[in-house]
Amino acid sequence: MRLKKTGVMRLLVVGLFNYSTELEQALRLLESNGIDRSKMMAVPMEADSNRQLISGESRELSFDVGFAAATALGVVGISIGFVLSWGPILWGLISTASGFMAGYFITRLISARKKNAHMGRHACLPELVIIVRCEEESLEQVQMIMHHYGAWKLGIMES
Amino acid sequence: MKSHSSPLPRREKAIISWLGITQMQYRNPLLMLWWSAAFPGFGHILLNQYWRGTLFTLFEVVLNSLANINGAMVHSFGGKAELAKQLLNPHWIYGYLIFYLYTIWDTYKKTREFNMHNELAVLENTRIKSFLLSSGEINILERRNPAAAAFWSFMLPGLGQLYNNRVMLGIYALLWWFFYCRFSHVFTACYALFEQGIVQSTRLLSAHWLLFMPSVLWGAVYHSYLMAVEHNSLFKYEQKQFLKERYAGSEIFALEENRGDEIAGSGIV
Repeated sequence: MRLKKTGVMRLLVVGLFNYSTELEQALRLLESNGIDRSKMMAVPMEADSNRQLISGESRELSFDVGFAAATALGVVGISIGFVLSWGPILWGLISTASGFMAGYFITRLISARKKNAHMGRHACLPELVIIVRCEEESLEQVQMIMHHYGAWKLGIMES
Repeated sequence: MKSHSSPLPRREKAIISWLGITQMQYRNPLLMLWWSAAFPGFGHILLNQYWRGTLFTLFEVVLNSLANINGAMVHSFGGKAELAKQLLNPHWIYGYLIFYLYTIWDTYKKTREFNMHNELAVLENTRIKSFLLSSGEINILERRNPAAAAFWSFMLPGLGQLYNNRVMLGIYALLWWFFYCRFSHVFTACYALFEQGIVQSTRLLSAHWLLFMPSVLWGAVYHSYLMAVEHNSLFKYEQKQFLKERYAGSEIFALEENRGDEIAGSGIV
């Protein structure tokens, strides 16, 4: 019996994913291809586990402030445009655009100073690790499914 | 963050209906306050209080038109305070002013209130429903592209809302946008800008209706952008719940231990 067992090579396939519907497709397909749910594991990666418990904004607000400033300056620009020689439409466009730029870049500057920059770096890292245990014969299929449904990278090791 | 098996959730993080996804989320009180100042009702719509937000926008258009607020604003910013005073209608300005200040104050208060409840809802971690098939609509919580949402609402306010499955708000915004375009004469004025020059073009414009447009346009852009961002974070939240629930009983490392014993055993033999 022991001989028979060691004859089959068991492998761990580790995949890096983002949260997505494709990920669920991958997991369901693996299950329907005979890999039991108990042979799979999903580990969510947290950029900063402390941040979870601190209430507050965890993203940069540069677009938010940009849109707000575009509105404010746009209204003023249109109003003043009625008495200026270029008229409300052109002044509206100019003031809206400069309002957005001012709001956007000033917020970026401020948040860069607050050392929020590391949040941006974490934003483009994979969000989940999926671990699947399978036998050698099904390795190719597991790899193919995981790659096809959005795995960033796959790692394979014997276990 | 363990979910307890009480029969009724005390605080829900989000619900899904044919009208869209309604959720608790951390929001910046000052930004919400600003949108209420830009257009009464927008702050409440951003807070997902859609019924009152929509009714407030109707109030705003009617009261502003009756009191001539927009026309007075144009004169004030243009340095003609006397003209502005003459234009304002005293029957309506008191009510308008109080209503305007109330929506701003209330948005700030409500945002802070919802932020606390959001935190509690996250800690309670009640399971979210993310998929709805109803007889007349399909609504699924999916990842959205905030840039696409903002782009479509920029092209035509309301389209970004439709992209986010906030169905009726999208249609409401679209209807109003066509109305504003028609009554401000903005497109004929743009055309006249090239054909007849600036003076003729300005003469065509209705200051009253034109002045609603920047707030409506950017409000719609911001709402669709923010909702796409919030749906994305809700999507992750829900999928994390699902994965934890479904793949909790993993035996990967349990097997590892058994195998360790096996190898150790074989070493002795």
